[in-house]
Amino acid sequence: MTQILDDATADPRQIIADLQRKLDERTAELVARTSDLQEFLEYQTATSDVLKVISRSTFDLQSVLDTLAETAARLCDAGYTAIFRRDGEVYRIATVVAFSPETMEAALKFQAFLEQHPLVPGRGSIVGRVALEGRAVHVADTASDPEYILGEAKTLGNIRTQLGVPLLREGEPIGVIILARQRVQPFTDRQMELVRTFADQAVIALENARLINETREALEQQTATAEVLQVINSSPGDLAPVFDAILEKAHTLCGAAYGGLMTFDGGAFNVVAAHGDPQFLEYWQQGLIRPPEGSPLSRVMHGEAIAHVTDAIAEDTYGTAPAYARLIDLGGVRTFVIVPLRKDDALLGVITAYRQEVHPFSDREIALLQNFAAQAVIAMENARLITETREALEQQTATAEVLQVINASPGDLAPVFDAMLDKAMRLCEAAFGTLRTTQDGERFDLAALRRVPPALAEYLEHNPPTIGSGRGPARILEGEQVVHILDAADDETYWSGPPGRRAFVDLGGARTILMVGMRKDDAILGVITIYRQEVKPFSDKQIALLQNFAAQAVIAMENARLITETREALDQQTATAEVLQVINSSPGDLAPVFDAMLERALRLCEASFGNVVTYDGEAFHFVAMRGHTEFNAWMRQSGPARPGPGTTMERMLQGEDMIHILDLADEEPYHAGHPVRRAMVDIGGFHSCLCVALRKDGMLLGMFHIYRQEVRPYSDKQIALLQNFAAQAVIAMENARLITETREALEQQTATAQVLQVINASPGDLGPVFGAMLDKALHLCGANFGLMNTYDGQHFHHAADHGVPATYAKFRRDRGPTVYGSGTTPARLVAGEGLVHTIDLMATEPYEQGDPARRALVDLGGARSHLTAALRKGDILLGDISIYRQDVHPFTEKQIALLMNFAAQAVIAIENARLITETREALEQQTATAEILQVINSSPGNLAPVFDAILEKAHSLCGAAFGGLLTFDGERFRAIALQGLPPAFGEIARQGFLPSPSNPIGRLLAGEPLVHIADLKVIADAAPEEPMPRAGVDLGGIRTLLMVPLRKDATLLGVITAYRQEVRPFSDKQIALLQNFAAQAVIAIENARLLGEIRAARDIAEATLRDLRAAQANLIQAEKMASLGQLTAGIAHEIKNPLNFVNNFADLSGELLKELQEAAAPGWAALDDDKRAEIDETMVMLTSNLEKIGEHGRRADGIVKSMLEHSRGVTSERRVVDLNNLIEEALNLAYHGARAQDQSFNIRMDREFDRDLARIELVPQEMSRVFINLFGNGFYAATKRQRDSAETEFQPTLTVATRDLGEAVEVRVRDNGTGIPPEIRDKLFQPFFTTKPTGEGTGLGLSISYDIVTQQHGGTITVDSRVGEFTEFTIRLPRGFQAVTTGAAA
Amino acid sequence: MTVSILVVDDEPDVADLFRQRFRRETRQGDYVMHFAASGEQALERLADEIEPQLIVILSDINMPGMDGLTLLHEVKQRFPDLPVMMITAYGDDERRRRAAEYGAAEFITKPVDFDRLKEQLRQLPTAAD
Repeated sequence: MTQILDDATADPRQIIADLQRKLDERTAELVARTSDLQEFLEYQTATSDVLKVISRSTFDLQSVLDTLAETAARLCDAGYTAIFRRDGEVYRIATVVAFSPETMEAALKFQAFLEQHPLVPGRGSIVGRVALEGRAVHVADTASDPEYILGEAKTLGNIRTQLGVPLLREGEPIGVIILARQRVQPFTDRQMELVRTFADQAVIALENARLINETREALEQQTATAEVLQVINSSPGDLAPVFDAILEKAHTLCGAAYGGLMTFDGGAFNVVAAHGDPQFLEYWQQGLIRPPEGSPLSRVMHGEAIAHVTDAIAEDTYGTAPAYARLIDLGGVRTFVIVPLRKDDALLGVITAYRQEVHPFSDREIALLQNFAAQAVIAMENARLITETREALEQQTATAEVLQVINASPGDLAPVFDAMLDKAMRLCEAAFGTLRTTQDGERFDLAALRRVPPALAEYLEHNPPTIGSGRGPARILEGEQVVHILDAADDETYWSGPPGRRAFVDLGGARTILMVGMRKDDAILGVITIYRQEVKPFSDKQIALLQNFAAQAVIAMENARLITETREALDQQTATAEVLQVINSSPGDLAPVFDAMLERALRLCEASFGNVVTYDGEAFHFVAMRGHTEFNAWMRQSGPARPGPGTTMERMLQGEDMIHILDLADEEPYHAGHPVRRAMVDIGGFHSCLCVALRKDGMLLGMFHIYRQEVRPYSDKQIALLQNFAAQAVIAMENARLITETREALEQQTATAQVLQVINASPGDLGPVFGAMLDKALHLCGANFGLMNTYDGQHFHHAADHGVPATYAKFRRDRGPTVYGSGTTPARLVAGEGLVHTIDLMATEPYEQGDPARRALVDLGGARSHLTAALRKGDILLGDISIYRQDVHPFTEKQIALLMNFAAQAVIAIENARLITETREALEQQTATAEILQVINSSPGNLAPVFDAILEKAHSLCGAAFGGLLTFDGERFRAIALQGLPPAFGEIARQGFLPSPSNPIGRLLAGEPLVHIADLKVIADAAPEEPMPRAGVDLGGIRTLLMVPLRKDATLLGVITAYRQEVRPFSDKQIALLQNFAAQAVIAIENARLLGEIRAARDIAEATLRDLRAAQANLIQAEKMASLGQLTAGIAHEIKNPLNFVNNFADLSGELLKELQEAAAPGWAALDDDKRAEIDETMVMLTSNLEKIGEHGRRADGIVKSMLEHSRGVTSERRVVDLNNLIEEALNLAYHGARAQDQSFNIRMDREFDRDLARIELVPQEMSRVFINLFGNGFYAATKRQRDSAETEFQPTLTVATRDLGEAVEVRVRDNGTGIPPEIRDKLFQPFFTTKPTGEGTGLGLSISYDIVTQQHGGTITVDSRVGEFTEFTIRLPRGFQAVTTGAAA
Repeated sequence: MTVSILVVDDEPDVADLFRQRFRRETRQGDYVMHFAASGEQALERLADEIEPQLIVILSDINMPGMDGLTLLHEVKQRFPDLPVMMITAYGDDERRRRAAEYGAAEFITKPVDFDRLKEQLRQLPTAAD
């Protein structure tokens, strides 16, 4: 402005021209800025639109990408925009926006081409280049780029200029955005920056999509798992619906087209559930599958954890095994995966999933399949248990019914045989059956026929069966226990054609035949035969069942024989019946059965003492004793008996079935001194002894002993009787075993079902699941207490307990982090063991070596026997389930299997819980992200609410106690949002941090991607001189901290901090989350910065324009004034001429009057005195008048001269002047100027001049100007007050004072006018500032005065004023100021 | 010897003023005053050959029609030896410079100091000398 001003004093037109030029420049800049702003606003609106789409509750990635592409195309003037997403190693097109509706067709063709040919990293395409280099690529003309080989871009789209920007997530490209033009016109920097922002937003959108997809997938999986569990629960034992459900869910979730579930029987696979093309399925399911060696299926069969085939056609098997190739061809199978169903190491089956294109399954999909496989295994296990249970129950019921029949019809065999056959047929799924008896072992009689087809029945009626060579009965007679004919219509016998066999096959339709001999000792009593009318072998279980029935039939026959034999036999029969009754009435409880048997055996065999002994494979146990109190007492205290040499026990073990000893005292064992034998004879006084073995399939189960106290042999009948009792005892034991197994199976089944129910009822909540599991496990396995732990990769954590002794529980609670000593269970689990079974914890190395945990377990918990099953997901240890007994009593295999089953279920429960937690977390994160985006959206450019929202979400989701968001200005971190800080630490944090290499925040400056400190206290203790860690620990109580930088490209913008007051590191998920929030904060900051910059630029441009407009107006005014000045000068000139005449003629008239007086003097002398006096008087008056005219004329001339001088801008030179005079002149000039404008103008002028004021050197004209200006202002203000106010007594006054200060002089100009308000005092000396109405002031006066005083004279000019009272300007001019020639002066 | 002075001014009263100021000299026969109201008129009078002999032209500068400076220029073309004194109210440097350039004998600013003018006239060499 000074420049403008300087120029203004020179040539206003020039200045105006300059100003006009500057104004034009500024206007152009303003237009540019406004257009920038508009552009930015447009961009902001676009961003906001995109953010809106992103934050919409129903997130739709495609619409977000479409919006982004469209907006980018519009804002960057790109006719073609496409977004590519990375999919593994390739980039697939996700959306496209075309040049125009006309070119859309070409763009769609190009898109279709790209969908078929995804782009790979490389130089050949822009997408490839961006992917390769990980940064933006800009090619002005792809048509002339030799490396660019994507010809379709040109042929289909005629694309020339291209810009590709990567979508980067954590520095990795996850996609590319491409902008293109059909002409060669590079994109501007601004457009490129804009596209980068869009890329950032696309990344957020993709991230959101990924999160949502994960959430959806997790939910789907969870739902699927729950549904499968429901199916398992609702159809116990029925696998078909379970398999169907599993398969359907698995295939849907894994994106498989085909597949199936096959069971494995140890040799071949059987497809039990499948999906797919009918032709394919027909071929696949036509029989058992025996995989060719080396095929994927066989590899799984041989133990591989999984078979994942990327391309079935590329497999060797495809070329070598036609069946395999045919299957692949029929199904069009390309990629497939086979996941085994394994129970322990046993392969139960496989799940397969097929795709019809080459597209490998992801780890997630495979994990999912494995999860479903685990569920299938559990379902199969359940089904097996239930089936076994059912079968056992059915057998038990059948046996009981047969026994009842035997009981109800003693001696009458027909109903017994019928009942037996019926049961056998039903349980063995046979169509019909026969029972033949033989008297002599040479020919058979048909004793019972059940459901025999009429034609065969009729044939048999007329043709009694014979024993044909090679036929079943003959083979039984020859000693075979069981004859099992797979297909009676297809063996030697049938083809050799004996009529009997032919009849059975041709008339009865018999195909598969099972025949069991009824044997009494070695004698054949008969044959039971059952027939199937289809070819289907009988199972081992069914064969065993038929043998059981055969044994019962023998008993029944024996009973019948005995009944018919003697009266004694009747008693025996009664006894037997009674025993049977007991057996029947107390199923599963053997003690009363043995007792009843023994009682009757003693009575019938005339023995005084007896016992029943069972054998468990190792020792003998006395389970029933009768007859001798003293000996009984001795036996009980002596515990389980071990067989001595020659004793009955040893002989039985060696295979004898019956031992008859005449005198115990006369035998080797007695002589040898075997304690039991001695006790028998010496304490019990026993002599004759009969001993019968209890055997099941040759295996010794126990024995009956009866003793007489005299030497008297037992009769054959008595021996047979005891053998009969023994047979019944075996049956009873078998029944008991079956019942026990049934009960156990039922209990297990119930327990499993209950646990499943709990899992189902409390998804995601492991506490109740583990509790229920432990409860069941303890109960079923007969353990005293149990524990479940989870494992985090480093430590085991208590998850559930049941029945733990209080002292041991306290020990576990109180102990700190544990070191798992070598050989302890946790150590073994970590080392990879799946199962740890300890018979006696006290007898283990860890206990003996004093491992504290082991000691506590035994000494405090009283644990002795122990069983632990690992919870493993794949190879990952998730935890364990442990049960303990407080006595030394190993767990059975069944119990072990049970615990492993629970472990498997626990793993599923943990997996479910994990999925649910992940789902919840993902949902929470998604919600949080959406909310923050909403905040960003709703407050553009305003960071405070955004940061607050980010902090709040970040801390709540990351589980941080408190923290802050700090910005970094290149030197210092400043807290701009803090949350929950302890007050003392908050004080420190608000002051900000100076980074140093040794404090955590400084590490961010060094470029570290994040700072994660597990325990700040350790760092603070290590560097006590460093204030920040110290304050954090002492004032903030901080232990674990996480700092995530806010970075824009490589520039550090700030940091988000999250603190915990305990030592607990943040998880990877939480770190990733905080980084995600940091990215959002960066976007918000960038948006705000851009908006701020644009706003500031606009403000500056607007202010400049305003100033320029004012300057222009003032200059126009100045110009007006200047022309007024010229006018004044012209007028002054014009006045000067007439004034000259006035003066000249007045002068002349004086002269002429004098001449007249001289000339007329003689004449006047003649006149009388009166006349002469009159003439004289007139002459004096005339002369005086002429003098007055001359005087006033000169005065007017002086005014005109001053005016001319002032308007002329006379060359200024420093002169030594009398300042008082100068001021006086200026005062006059100002006064007359004011008077000239306003006739009524009047003011009192007080002069307080320092009369001793020494002369001073200055530029008189310039200083005059200053004073005239100040006086003019004073006049104006004072008269304005007079005009404006109602003060009638007011006397406008201007006081001018001078003072000699020695080294300087001071001039004060004071008026009693309106005064100057304080707020505009600062502006007084600004050019063009004026308070006068337009046209009255140029606004230049004080500005020029200021320059004259300060620059030209090195002085000062200050102002003091009170509104409504006065204004006083004080000028100080130093003496001896060496003038610097300035523009204003020149 | 009587000589002529030609005063050129568009202001009619200038003639009265000069007649009165020079009334004594005229009465004594030292000067004969001639007047022209414009540059054109002055040139006409020159062409008519003013008698008695013209010794000086006093010309105003600001005049309608031909201004004083042009007149000066014209006169100097025709009568290089005839002194011309320029009288003006605008004593600015530019006019002063141009007047000197055209050969003005004196440059007198208004109001005219007649005593000084008379002195200057006396100093003029007459053609007769």
